[in-house]
This record gives sequence, C-alpha cells and structure tokens, in this order.
Amino acid sequence: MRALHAEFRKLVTTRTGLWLTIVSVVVSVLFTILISLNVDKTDSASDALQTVMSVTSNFAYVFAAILGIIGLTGEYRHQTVTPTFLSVPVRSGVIVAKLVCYLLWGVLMGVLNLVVAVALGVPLLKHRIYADVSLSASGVHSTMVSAIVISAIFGIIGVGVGALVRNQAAAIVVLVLYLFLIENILSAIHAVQKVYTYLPGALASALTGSQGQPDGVHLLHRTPAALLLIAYGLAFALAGAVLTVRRDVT
Amino acid sequence: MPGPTNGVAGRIEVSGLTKTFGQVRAVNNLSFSVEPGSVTGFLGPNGAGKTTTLRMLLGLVTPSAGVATIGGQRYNRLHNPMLTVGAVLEAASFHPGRSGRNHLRVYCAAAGLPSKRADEVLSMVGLAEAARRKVKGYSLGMRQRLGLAVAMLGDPQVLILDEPANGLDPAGIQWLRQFTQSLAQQGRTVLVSSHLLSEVEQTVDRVVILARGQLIKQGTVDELTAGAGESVVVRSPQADALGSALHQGGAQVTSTGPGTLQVVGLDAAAIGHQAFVAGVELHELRTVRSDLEDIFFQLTAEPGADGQPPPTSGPVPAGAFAQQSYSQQPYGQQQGGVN
Repeated sequence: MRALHAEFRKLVTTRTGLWLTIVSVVVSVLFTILISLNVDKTDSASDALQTVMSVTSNFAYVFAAILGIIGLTGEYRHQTVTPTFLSVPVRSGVIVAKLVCYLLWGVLMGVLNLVVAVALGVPLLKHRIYADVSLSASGVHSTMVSAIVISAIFGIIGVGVGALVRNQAAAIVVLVLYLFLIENILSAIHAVQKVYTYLPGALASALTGSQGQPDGVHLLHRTPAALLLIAYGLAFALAGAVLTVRRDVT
Repeated sequence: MPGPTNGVAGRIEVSGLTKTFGQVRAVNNLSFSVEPGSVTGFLGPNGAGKTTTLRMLLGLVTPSAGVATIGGQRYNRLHNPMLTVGAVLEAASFHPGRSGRNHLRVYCAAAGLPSKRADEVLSMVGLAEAARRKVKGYSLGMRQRLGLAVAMLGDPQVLILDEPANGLDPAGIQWLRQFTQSLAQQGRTVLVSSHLLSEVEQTVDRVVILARGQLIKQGTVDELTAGAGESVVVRSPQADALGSALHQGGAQVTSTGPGTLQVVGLDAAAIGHQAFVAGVELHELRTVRSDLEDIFFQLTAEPGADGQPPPTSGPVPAGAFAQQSYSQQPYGQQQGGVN
C-alpha cells in the first residue's frame, strides 16, 4: 500500500499524466465530431454510435499505454529508480504498485473518452440522421465496458513494455509504430490475417466492435477477445516484473 | 535461511563480497566493517569498485558471492529500510518537473511517513525556500542537498553517501563536513565514498581503502599516517659527493633529478652538518613530510606502472616516498630546459 501511495503521488506531482489525458480527450473531441458528421447513412444507429466510441477508445488506450511506458521508463531516465528501490527494496512490490496505478489511470482515461463520445457523439448523430440513437441500443453497453477494460489493460501493457525496453523514447516509438503501422500492415496481408486477429490491437477492435477492417479479416468474438487481451496484459506485466526484479540497478 | 540477526545496530558488515560483470571482476572477495559513531571514508580511485560495493550493500546489485549486512540484516530484508538507512548514490535522481517538496513527499509515502516530515528535512538541509520550485531550477549544490534530504527522511541510523562532494563548492563541502560529523557525533554510522582523499581527509575518522576491487587497508586515519615517513630534499651542485658522504653516514639516498637528492634516515640538521664537514655547497635543504594523499596514491597505484611494486596492506615503507617524487622528475627537467 505504501508503494501504491508513492506511485500515485509520482503520477500526480508532474504534469505528464494530466497533459497526456488532456491531449487524449482533445483528440477524441476532434475525431468524435469528424466521425459523427461522416458516418455512412446506411449504418444502423447503434453501429454509428459504436464506431464513434471505438475511435475515442483507440485514443484512450494508446495514451494510457504511453503513460504506462513513461511511468516506468521515467524512473530510469531520471535515475529515480535508485531512491524508488531504496525506499521499497521488494521490487515486485514497486511493479505491482505501478501496474495498479496505471490500470486505474487507464480506467479514468477510458471513462473520460467515453464521456466525450457520448456527450458529443449522441447529439450530433441525433441531429444529423438518427432520431432513435440511444445508449440502450444493443451492443452499446458492451462497447462502453470494453472501451474501459481495453484502456485499463493497455495501461498495464505500457508498464510492461517500459520495463522491457527501459529507453523511454524507444519504447514509445515501438508501441506507436506497432499499433498504427505493423498491425495495419499485417491485417492487409492475406497470409497473416489470421495471426493479426490474435494481436492486441485487433483484440481491442474486436471488443469495441469497430468497423472498417480490411476484407477477409474476421475478428474474434467479444469474450475470447477479452480473455486473450487480459492474458496479454498479464504476460507483459509478468515479463516486466521478472526482468525488473532480476536486473542490477547500476 | 534467515541471515544473522545478532548484528550491532548500525554496523555495516561486508564479507567476501564479489561481483563479476561479464569478464570483469569489479569487486573481489571484499571484507570490511564500518562502525557506528564515526565517519568512515570509503576511498579508492575511479573504477576501484566503490559504487558497485555500495550498490550491493543496498540491494541494488546482486553480489556474485558474499554478503553485506546493515545491523546484521541484508538491506532487502529490512522491513522499511528508509527508517534504518539513508543513502545518496547519484548527484541527480529527480524528475525535473517535480518540486523538491513533492519529490520528498513521494518517498514519505513510500516509507509511510507523514508529509510534514518532508518540510522538516527541507529545513534541515536549508532548502525550505526552494521547496515548491521545480527541481530543474535547482543548482547542483541544491540538488545534492535534496538528495541528502531524501536520505534523512526516515531519521536513519546509517547514512551512506557516494561521492557527495562531487561538484560542491568549498562552502558546500564545508557544510557537508559539519553535517556528517554532527550525525556521527549522535552515534550514527556515516560512510562516505570518495576518489579524493583530500576531499574527506578532514571529515573522516576511519578509512576503508579499495583498489581494483580489493581491500587495500582499513583503519583509523592515525594508523594510516603513522606509516608516513619524513624525508629531506637536498639540492647541491656537488650532489654526487654529498650523496656518497650521506650514504656513508647511514642515510638512504636517492637521486631525484639533476643535483637533487632525496634523503631518508637523517634529519635536516644532520645533513647540513655532513655537508659542512665534507665542504659541499648547498642550494636547498628542505624537510618533506609524506602526507595522506601520497600514502593514498602509493596504496592505490596501479601495479607495474613506473615499475612500482604492487601495494600491500602493510605499513608504507618510508623509502617508497622517493618513487612518488621520481614521477615528478620529468616536470623538473622540462622546467630546467625552458629556463
């Protein structure tokens, strides 16, 4: 608990967490407006709302992961890892505290971005085409829960990636390139489309029910996608923890 | 298997400590102890293994062999280590965008201390004014004080400082000296590492000297200086004649430059008398005391360099002094050439 309290103080005493959250919300606002005004009129009302939500969720989880990376790699970058491990020498305790901290912040970011999607997306869609757009439509609730879970898990994945890579800039570049470039490329190559559907970004898409996958891609159903994504989160957390515990701090 | 639990509170004990990084043996079978109530200097040239040793002592680096304990406990086994041990290992372990006070509050939380303790230690190190400013605006000296403030948060019995004087101005070094001495007077254990003996010479009561990962010497500063010898530097245009006269008089004579002799075994008055008897003209007659820095240099010098024998842990032979002067010989010649 002491370690968690310390991690939380670290997060709120610099501007990084605040700024990243604000940026993710601003980006979500822009894309909610953009998507809501351009949704294909042949889609159903609930599909249109889910599309808006999956887009804001995308920004929430990428920023949650980046924040997790910064939270861990910042310790090495600013050499605060030394006083951190001096104050809590059981390093697995430090890692667990970080995982919990960035999981909770991921939940917060997921919620904030959903608020944007609902507060802006619903009236815009209503105004444009769908008089019947509603939060109680089928699939919308699952999408909302999924968006929050995804953001929380990517917070954990960020901490794990940070522990594996340790170099802050490198870790962020790797993450962003992977999510925005590599997974997209894989999804377009017919031979590996099956593999792509098991990767974290594709799982997130499966969970939010996002549209616009390339032809031939059949995303997993929600429950297996959720379980597999949680497994990724645990795997990254464990790998990061094991490496951090075993590595010398020189 | 529980470690020894009958250790003296505040006593640091290092036993058979070894660390190998790849092919390099950074610390080799090192054993020493540090007692409470004194300031102990942990000395050695850069790369001697001081920092690695301290990091093993603090559980940051896993030893390849051996054990290091504080009060009979390994650091990683201490329940809330900040309440027992305070350590400053780097000149800057801060997030630049966090204020000094918030930096301290992070570690208050980690140690379960109330936040008002942060304000107390800030006053203790003289940073109360700058408490709410971001660390990126701090001077080097202020950063070092903030590091010290973190170490003092838990009011620890043991304080470990790695190269604390690096980058401090003379006033800062003076302040640090008084600070560490007052802590030792309160019965605490203070271990201060440095690659410069002169930096800590006036602060430390005891020394542990390290070179190439091995213990060279440990003891009090007095024990160290007891091995120091006195010698006399003599300059004469008839150095050869004087040298043989002094040699016959039982002195050890070494030529350290053109017309310059280093004499051990006779004092200045006796040498002056010998010169007078032999009818030799003197240009200089000067007593030189080998100081701590010379001894330190002798003890930690690389073996083989300048044909020096490997240092031993025994008392410094007085004659060894001449070798140090010898290393300055080219300088003397060069000067002569310029003039």
